[in-house]
Amino acid sequence: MLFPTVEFGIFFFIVFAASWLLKDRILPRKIVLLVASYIFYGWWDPRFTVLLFMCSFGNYMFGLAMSDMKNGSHRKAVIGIAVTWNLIILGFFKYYGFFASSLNNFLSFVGLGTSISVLNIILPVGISFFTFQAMSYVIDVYREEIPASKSVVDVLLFISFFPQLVAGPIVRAKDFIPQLSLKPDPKKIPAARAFVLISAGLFKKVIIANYLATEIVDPVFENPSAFSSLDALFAVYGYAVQIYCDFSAYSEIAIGIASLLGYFFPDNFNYPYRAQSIRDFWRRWHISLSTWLRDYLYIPLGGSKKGKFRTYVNLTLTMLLGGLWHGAAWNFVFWGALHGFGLGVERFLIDKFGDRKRNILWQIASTVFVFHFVCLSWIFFRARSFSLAYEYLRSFANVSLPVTNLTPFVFFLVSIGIAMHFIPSSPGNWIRANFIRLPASVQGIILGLVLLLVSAFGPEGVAPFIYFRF
Amino acid sequence: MDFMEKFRNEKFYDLSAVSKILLVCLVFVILFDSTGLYNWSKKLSVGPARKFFMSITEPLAFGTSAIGLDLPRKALKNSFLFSMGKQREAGFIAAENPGINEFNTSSVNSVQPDNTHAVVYSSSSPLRILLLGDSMMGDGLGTMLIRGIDDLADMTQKRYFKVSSGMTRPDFYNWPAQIRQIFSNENYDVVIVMMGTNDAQNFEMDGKIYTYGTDEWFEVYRQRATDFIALLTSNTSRVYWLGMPPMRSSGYNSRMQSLNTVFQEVCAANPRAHYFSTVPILGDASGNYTTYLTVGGRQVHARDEKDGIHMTRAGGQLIADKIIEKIRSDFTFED
Repeated sequence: MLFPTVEFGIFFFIVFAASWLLKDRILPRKIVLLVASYIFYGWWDPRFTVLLFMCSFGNYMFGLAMSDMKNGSHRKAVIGIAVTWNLIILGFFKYYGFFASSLNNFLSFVGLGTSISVLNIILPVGISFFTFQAMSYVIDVYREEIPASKSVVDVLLFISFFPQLVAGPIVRAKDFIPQLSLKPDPKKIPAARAFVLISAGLFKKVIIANYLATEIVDPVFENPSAFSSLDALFAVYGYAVQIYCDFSAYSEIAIGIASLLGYFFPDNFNYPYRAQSIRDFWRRWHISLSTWLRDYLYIPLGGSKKGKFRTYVNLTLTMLLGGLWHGAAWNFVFWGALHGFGLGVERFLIDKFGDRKRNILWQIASTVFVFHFVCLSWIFFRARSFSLAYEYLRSFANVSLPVTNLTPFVFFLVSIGIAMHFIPSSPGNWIRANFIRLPASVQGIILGLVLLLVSAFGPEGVAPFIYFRF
Repeated sequence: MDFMEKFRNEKFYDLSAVSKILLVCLVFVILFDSTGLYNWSKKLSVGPARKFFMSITEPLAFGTSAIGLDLPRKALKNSFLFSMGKQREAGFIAAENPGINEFNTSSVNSVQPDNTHAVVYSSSSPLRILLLGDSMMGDGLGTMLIRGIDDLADMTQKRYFKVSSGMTRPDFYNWPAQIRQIFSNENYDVVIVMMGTNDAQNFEMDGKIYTYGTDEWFEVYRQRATDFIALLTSNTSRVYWLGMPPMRSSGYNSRMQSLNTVFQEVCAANPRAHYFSTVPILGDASGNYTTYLTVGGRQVHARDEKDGIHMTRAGGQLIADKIIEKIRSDFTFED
């Protein structure tokens, strides 16, 4: 079940009504939300819900076990098992085939023949998100940042809550679980935030991301050598906008939906292409992942506290694993390595020359440079293989080929996708302030108009059927 | 909770205001986007849910259309398409016509001569290949066919693929209408088709439900495939119909292999059609599904492990190589 569909609209109206009807009965309300979350997840494949339950229940038990232990080494052993449990789930379903085939090919290359059996494993939707979220819970319990939850429903709901289940944001246990013990206040629904985020998310996903994908990004990335240098350039700009609009839209709709149900999620994107350094980019892009990697990987590795060389190693290792988190393929690893290398070089330059405030021209140049560095890395992220990425880079030399896919419409979409990063917040605040002042019925009409625009402008026949599997 | 402090300055609504806003929004959508809702319900799989939603959205769409409430949506859509410099596809337009349930391929007659052996193709007179299909002709097979053909000076290609389309649901996308539009503007010598992943489902025709697996379902489906291939061969020299590869889900796989039997029979009955089985290429030694294949001593990731249906580019490459090789042997090319 995807957000911008009628199916989800119906599902949400039912869940919204049921959850608020139970506003005075916390436990039944949470059970309704839990059941709804499992229905939402099972919509893809009901078998996945068993895995989700096993992952969640296992982490509940590990948390509970740690809460009863006073001995530090025992707690350490349990957190070790808990992290291993989550990594086994993630590793088996997402990475087994990748590592087994890579190893087999390496063994074959050195003349040892293939030996490890590759299995036909199903990759469950959103597994990277829910296993990371589950790990944050047990690690926070281990660090005593939060007490272990005695309520199995709370832990199951924290890990499976449908707005963020399949594509984030990766919500922290310490931010979300305490909200579950509060009685939802029907007078304190942050609806203005929700409506703005849902509207913006729908527009970004259905209009900008979908059209950029079909009009320029997909065709050029399929066969880059057949396209002109200008097409190649705008396809990568287009991909930068597409991936931002697609991903941030999901987060925004998730945050908006959670808000309407009375729960608060943190922001996940903050104008990433406005960044003036690579470090700044990672503070603005998929914030819940980058902070997760910082808190649970980079800092435990020693962060920047163990000397310059270890800092560079830690940065690179964190970003390598961050790349691998995105997908089981070497191009994602390289994408992560590229960012890790960039962060390392940036840190070296800051250590050498200092991190002083620069003038406006320097800031503009930095923003343009960082944007193009990110775009360069997106080529490896999107291209599926190194040979295709290399072919893509070579297509920048196709100056003699005619421009075919860079239409005024594509140019317009890319322009607004980039321009939206530099719009000052005042017009947005003005719109929001005035929207709030409108009567409820007018606000409803405006929201309806947004849905009508999305329906009318959205591409026809975008995956309306699910495949029939039995 | 420190985290909650971040939201202190939010403007909060009470539940009655939120409910009122959502209700007004819902009524607005029902009134002004009833066509969108009707189109959505038509696309649902044939069964009780579709029947239920159709019974609501169909009269609603006709009612709101009668009083002109659908005009803003139409105007918005048309102006958007105009500003994009695009037209609606014939396949979608035909799907919305009253005769949507007919898979009409009338006026099929052989107009294009069979040039399989009569013409020598070269870089100055390349073999023109049309690639057609559902999502199987998208990234994966479609990509690798495009790349493989583009690498050859004596062949050219153009691809039309539509996700979720097929021959059972012309009420979603009408392929014969789309084909006629394509051939009214362009000429091709060869068509490569891969279609069927969405077809093993019930459909409705003339008010009657045809249930997948029944004899009458296969009878209608066989006729549609026959007509569809006849429409293609009337405009080209040769049609290569790629059968479905083995699928990971055993139930789904048996459905796909039952369609392969139909495609094979229909192609055998048309001298210009050739059925090309993908099972020996993408199956394991027993012809069963496998995500990884060993090719030339290397393990190749051939299928999408997320769905167990689609091909990866490596899998698509294996099929593309074989089909291009087959075309080269069937047609005459200048050395």
